[in-house]
Amino acid sequence: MFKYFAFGLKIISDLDLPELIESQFEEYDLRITVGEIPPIVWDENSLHKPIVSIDKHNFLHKLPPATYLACKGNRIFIAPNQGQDFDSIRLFLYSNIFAAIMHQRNYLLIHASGVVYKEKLHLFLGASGMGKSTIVAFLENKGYEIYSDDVILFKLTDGELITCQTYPQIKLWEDTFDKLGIKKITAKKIRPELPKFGIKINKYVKGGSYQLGKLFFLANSSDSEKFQISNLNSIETFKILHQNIYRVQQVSKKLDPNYIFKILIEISKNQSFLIERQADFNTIEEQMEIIQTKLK
Amino acid sequence: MNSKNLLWLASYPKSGNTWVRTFFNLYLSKDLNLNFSNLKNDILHSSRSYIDENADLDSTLLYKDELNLIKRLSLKTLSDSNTNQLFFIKTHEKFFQLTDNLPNIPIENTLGIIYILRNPLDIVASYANHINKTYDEIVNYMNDPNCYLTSQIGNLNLSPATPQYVSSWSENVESWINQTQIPIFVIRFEDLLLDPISNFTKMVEFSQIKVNHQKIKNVVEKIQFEKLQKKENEEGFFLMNGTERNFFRNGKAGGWKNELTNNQVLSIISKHYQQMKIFEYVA
Repeated sequence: MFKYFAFGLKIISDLDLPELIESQFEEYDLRITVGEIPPIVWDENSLHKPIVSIDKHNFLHKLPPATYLACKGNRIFIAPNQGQDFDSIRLFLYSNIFAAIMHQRNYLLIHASGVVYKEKLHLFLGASGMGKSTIVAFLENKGYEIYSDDVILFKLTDGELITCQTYPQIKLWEDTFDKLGIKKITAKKIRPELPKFGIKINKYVKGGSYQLGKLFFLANSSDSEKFQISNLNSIETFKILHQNIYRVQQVSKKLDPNYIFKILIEISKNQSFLIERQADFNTIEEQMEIIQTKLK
Repeated sequence: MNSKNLLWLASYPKSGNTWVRTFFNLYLSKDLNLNFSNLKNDILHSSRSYIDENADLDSTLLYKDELNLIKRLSLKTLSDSNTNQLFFIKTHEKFFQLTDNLPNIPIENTLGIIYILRNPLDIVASYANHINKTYDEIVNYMNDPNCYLTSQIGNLNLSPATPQYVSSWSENVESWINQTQIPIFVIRFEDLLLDPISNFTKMVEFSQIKVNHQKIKNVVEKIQFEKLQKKENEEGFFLMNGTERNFFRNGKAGGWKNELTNNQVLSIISKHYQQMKIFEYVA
């Protein structure tokens, strides 16, 4: 049995999960079992679709590498499909099934990467492909400490906003390495036939919740400007934050809309910027100079 | 039980698909106010967003064959979850079988297909303007049975659009019109230009939407090519943001005579003679 710490949880697993941090403990929060999916008793409000079935306590996802079941925030069952590789099985476990577990634990997940600077957590938000990972990889190279890549978790406890990180890996598409001037030597493909690579975060902030600092929303530019940065007010911030909720379908089934509203309001109180770039804008040095100035 | 509420607007690129889409968008609107940004809400078969939302995953992590299967399942999910709504889905893909030997679209949820085709000789200049390529490059695309849009070779899935298997012009046309599983309404762009009211009326009937002759007339008036072009010049068009080129470029039939070289014309005709003859683009 393997033991890890990730997503703020103590995890025991049948499956080797080398991307997570090895740990030692007696009592665990989450157990991962490989084998058959057990029978599920769905509640009357359950939603059943060809790929996803969901209710308040269960989340069943039929994906190409495996069928996964996340239960009650503390159990994951994985039934691998024939001939599938374990890299693929782990990838969808991290990107989809842990999200379900954390929703079951009342966390709201936001599409964001984060760095810690001067004891505050600064966020880079945007949909897949907007460059969140590229930015944190660049900042790690410049000596910044990385909190999380791609997803950051939030919950409210006694009115206080709590943040939580995922696991210490940045995922970059093959073409990003040249842009960043990073060598691919230590990187490993996250799926055998996918030119996307996982890099272990070396300057990883381990554990804990942080007070939020600045928010940077990444978007493609809709006009002829190559790159522009503008301030956002809290209403604009709220709207864009709402668009960056991770796994919306799960959220709508799991979390109370008032609770989501309160979390987004709390996050929106922080200073925010909109960064718009044309899709072919490649000069990362130039945009990072501006971002670093704003961070300070 | 499956709901049959998907209506496909299928065509090779630059064949009048957006014009038809604009017609339905306006015809089904309450105020007849032409607004290009409303088109953004239509479903594009190529878009990753409805796949990610309905399958609850990040589709950029999928291999091409997996993606095609999940794309079809996502449309089925969308259809079954919204049984009272009719969805128009724009596609440039050919009709083909996936790895499970079933078609690339969920036929059990499909009400019908409107297939729009245009003289391939006229497509060349329009397509070249749209994606900023030379006429020769476009002729090569149109002749290539293995042609993909946003192909993302080797699963380098960086585009917000999924890879679309378009194939050659002829194979695209043949694949849709020769399938027998789904009702199809085939319309030539040139006939639509000549008699838009009658042909759009037939499309509305085919779509099982209530026909309002006065409204069809009003909409056709609003979407005259010159008016769309004028609106694009004033406000821009979202598919062409960041470029100096127009989406609504010419909108006429027969422009190829002044645009293509003899070699380009011969290359298209020799490759696509059979379909061009069936649809009376060559004698």
